[in-house]
Amino acid sequence: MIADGTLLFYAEVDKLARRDKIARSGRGKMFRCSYPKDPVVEQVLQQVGIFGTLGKTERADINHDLVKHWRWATGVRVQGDKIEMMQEVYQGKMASEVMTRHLNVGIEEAMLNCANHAYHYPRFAKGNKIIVTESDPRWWMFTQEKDKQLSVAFCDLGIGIPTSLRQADTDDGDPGDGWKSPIIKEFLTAIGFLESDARLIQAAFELGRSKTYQSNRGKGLGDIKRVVKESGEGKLSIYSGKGYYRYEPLNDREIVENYHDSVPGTLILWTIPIRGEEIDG
Amino acid sequence: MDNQTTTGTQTTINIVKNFSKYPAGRFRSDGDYSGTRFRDDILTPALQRFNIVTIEMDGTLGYGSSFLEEAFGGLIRVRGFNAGDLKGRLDIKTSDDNLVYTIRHYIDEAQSSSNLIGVAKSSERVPI
Repeated sequence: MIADGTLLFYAEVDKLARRDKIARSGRGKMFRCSYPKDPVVEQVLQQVGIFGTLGKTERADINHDLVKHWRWATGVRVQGDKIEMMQEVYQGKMASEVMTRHLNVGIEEAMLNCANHAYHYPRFAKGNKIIVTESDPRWWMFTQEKDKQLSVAFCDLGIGIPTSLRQADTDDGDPGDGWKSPIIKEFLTAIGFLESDARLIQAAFELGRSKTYQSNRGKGLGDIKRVVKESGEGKLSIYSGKGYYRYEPLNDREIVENYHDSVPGTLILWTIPIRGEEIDG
Repeated sequence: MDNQTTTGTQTTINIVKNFSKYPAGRFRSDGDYSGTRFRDDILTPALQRFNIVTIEMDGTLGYGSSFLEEAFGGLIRVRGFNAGDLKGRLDIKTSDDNLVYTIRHYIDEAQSSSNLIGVAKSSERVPI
């Protein structure tokens, strides 16, 4: 089971289970599941919290090398104590303490993006804009160590980066074509980043680097990329809407691709080689 | 929260001891240890009372751009401090040289933006 796909599966199940719990107030259950035949898969589903979410008895002894280094967390807003819990997986295994802090900050900024953008759904009533926020603006996160690689997956189930960009409002007037900010639209048009979800994910990094609007804002996406950029190895992958973006620092390469189907929300995956011994940088 | 260390006209803030090991986010709504909270509840009162404010920054999980910009750039944008004055009075202690550079950059950037806004407003007031 791969970290990013498993995380998305878990997030959807957890979201439904929470709503079911609220709706039914503990009466009955929406879900039923059986134990998988493969004992390693059972350990994974238990270790990442899926059985707990579904109310399935956790009966396995977590002892497989592929499983015992998984950690999971979920929350709302920025929760540094949960990042610290995740850090236990990779503390001392990154290239340096500086890189460990860079990864911590990348996760923190992903939590911030979730809190500030992912679940803001604009609604318009008689020309007045109202922002409707999800009552549970939640994020989910896994870390996994496997084959000398650290994988950290983070996701939300919100509106996604492309929609968030289209809905961003800089109070400059609505051009009336699905874009709420003419400044952002003009900037993205100028750099040729309008035509697809994948290019909009890529554009979000450019927008943060530019001073297109609110020059003190938009710096967080750079933090998400920083750990792989400065380490010069590993990769950063982002799925949002129909878009996929990948950054490979080895050749300073950005890859974008669009899919037929959408990812609900945004999924971020850091993949970083693990060192045997800590080298202080 | 432990008391800050003070000596005459100087005070020392240790972020881990006096604020949090997990400073993160801009606004109070982002989380419990935001840049706004640090700036308004700890840093600004210290700057108002003491001539030199030493900030010991090591030991946290790390500092995101959002926290740093709001905590330090916000001193200019929101609290009306002057960059030249701040750089003479803020003593940043850290093993990470890049962190010092980043903080100074955010202070300078906020001052530049503040100057532009000030010029724009003065221009608007010039009679034809």
